[in-house]
Amino acid sequence: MKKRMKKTWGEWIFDIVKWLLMALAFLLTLYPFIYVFSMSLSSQEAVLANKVVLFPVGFSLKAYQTLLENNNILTGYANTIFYTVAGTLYSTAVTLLGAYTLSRQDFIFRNFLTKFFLVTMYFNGGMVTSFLLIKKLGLYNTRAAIILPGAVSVFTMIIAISFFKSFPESLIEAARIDGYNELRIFASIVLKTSRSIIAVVVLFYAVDKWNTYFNAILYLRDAAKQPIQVFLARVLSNNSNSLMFSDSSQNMMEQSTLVLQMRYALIMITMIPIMMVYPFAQKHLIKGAMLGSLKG
Amino acid sequence: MQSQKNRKRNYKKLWNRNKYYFLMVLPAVISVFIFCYIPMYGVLIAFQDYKIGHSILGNEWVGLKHFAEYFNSLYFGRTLRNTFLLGLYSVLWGFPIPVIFAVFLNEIRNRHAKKVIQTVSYFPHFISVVVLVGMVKNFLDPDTGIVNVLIRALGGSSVSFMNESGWFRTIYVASGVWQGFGWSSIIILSALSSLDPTMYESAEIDGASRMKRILYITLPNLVPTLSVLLIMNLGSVMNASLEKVLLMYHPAIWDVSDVIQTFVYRKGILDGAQSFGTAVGLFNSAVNILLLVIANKTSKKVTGSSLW
Repeated sequence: MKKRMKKTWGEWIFDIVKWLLMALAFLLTLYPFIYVFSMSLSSQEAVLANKVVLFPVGFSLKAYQTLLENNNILTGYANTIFYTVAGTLYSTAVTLLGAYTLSRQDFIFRNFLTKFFLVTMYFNGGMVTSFLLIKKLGLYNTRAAIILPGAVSVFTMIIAISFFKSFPESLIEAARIDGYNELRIFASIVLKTSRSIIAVVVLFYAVDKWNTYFNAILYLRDAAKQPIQVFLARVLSNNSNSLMFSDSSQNMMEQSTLVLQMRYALIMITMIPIMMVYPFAQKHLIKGAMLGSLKG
Repeated sequence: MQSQKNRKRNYKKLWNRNKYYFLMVLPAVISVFIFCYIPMYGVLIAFQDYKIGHSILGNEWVGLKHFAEYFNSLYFGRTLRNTFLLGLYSVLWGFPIPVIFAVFLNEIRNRHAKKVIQTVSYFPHFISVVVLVGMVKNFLDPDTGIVNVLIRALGGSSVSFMNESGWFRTIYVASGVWQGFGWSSIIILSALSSLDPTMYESAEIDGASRMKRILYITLPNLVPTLSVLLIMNLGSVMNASLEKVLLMYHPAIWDVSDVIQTFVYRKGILDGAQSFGTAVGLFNSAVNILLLVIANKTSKKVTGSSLW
């Protein structure tokens, strides 16, 4: 009992170092997000005077307003939502069907097809031949070019396979006695009790599709089909304001401040859906990472 | 007779099941076959002079011409060095930091604080590369970026971080560590939580300080996990993030930022030198596979665990 009473010098130092390190990690991670948020919402005068350091100074929604009046941004946002929803649905369906089948011991092609999928984790044809294929298939500059290639993430599939392997065999046997075929067993019995793996797969794909950038610049030409990430990248890469503005009535200083705030606001609206889903999704995402790391 | 009948029935059952199984796995097989295997076959154009409109076997075969062209060009040394150095520095910083983070986080007894720190630290993993680079560019902007505002407030003069070759690698690696350290710590935290608490209790009774417990119990017990992680990290050392470099680089700093994949993109896609681009990409893949095989062999020897 006695030894718990007093901390030694060493323990004090250890505790201080520990908390300092944790505080540093915590603040360094959080600060950029708070700063982006504050810059997007502060008043123009405060931004112009470099007064915004941590929390918003003053309040103005002008940057968001101007963004929401911009058709390019609305189109990009709508495109991203479409790619995310359609792509996630398609990828999840194909992946779960495949993963369940490959988890079945009585599937005669199990070993062969598992290898067939695994090989693609280490070998690929590269971007040039993939690009030529997309052109040849007539998918270039179509929305399908964002959804179809790479629809199956073998990594995600492996996570799902290892989950399905632990599905109780007795339930499947019982369903067979009731005359269910394999497809029906999967759809009405396995899926019902596999909520958590569905969540993991859906979230992995949704984040991936939401963040799609390179495939979009590789496979899409029309601005009308580009997702928001491409638009954000364009805005950030050129300092001319032509993409955001057509209005030249304001003075230069105000205009450049507004453009600056619009960049921060655009970063915010590109992140917001992920920020909103993250607190609820965290549990599943970490579970997926654990399942994945056990395999890796 | 009886057993033969039984066997026949079993075969029929097996066939009935497999019929459905095959249907269920088919969409994934088709998708992977088309979008992964056909491009692998397409790699043959690295040994040809590909012309648009020709079928893959209808082009003129030129052997290793495109490889020779790459190896003899001034881009070879530059892209190889840049790719390697970005990967190397990423491992040098990106490997130890999550370990230190996880070990100290594990020492936090306040569950609530621990949870909050974890939640925040994982988040950057989920933002897109575009958003990450966007924040970096805005923060480092010479006129309006917070970093330069602070530098000026302290009496210094603005640094044009994104336009100076000397800063590129630092920015690339630091932002990568920022985005990844929390997420990478998950696997280490899970290894830590599986350590036997009685080891710590007996060490405490023996009077070992907390630092000593970390050095003599925690770290030695993490060695198997860490060596696999490190070796796998080294196996992917030639995989620079194409997206990130593409978003961060521009001709003025190509000397340090042009990696093999960005070179492939410029030549093979933008300039339309498909065969040459494919050859350079194939060279990168070959190096990657070689590194992975070496890493895997080493892992098997040192730790007994491996990828295959």
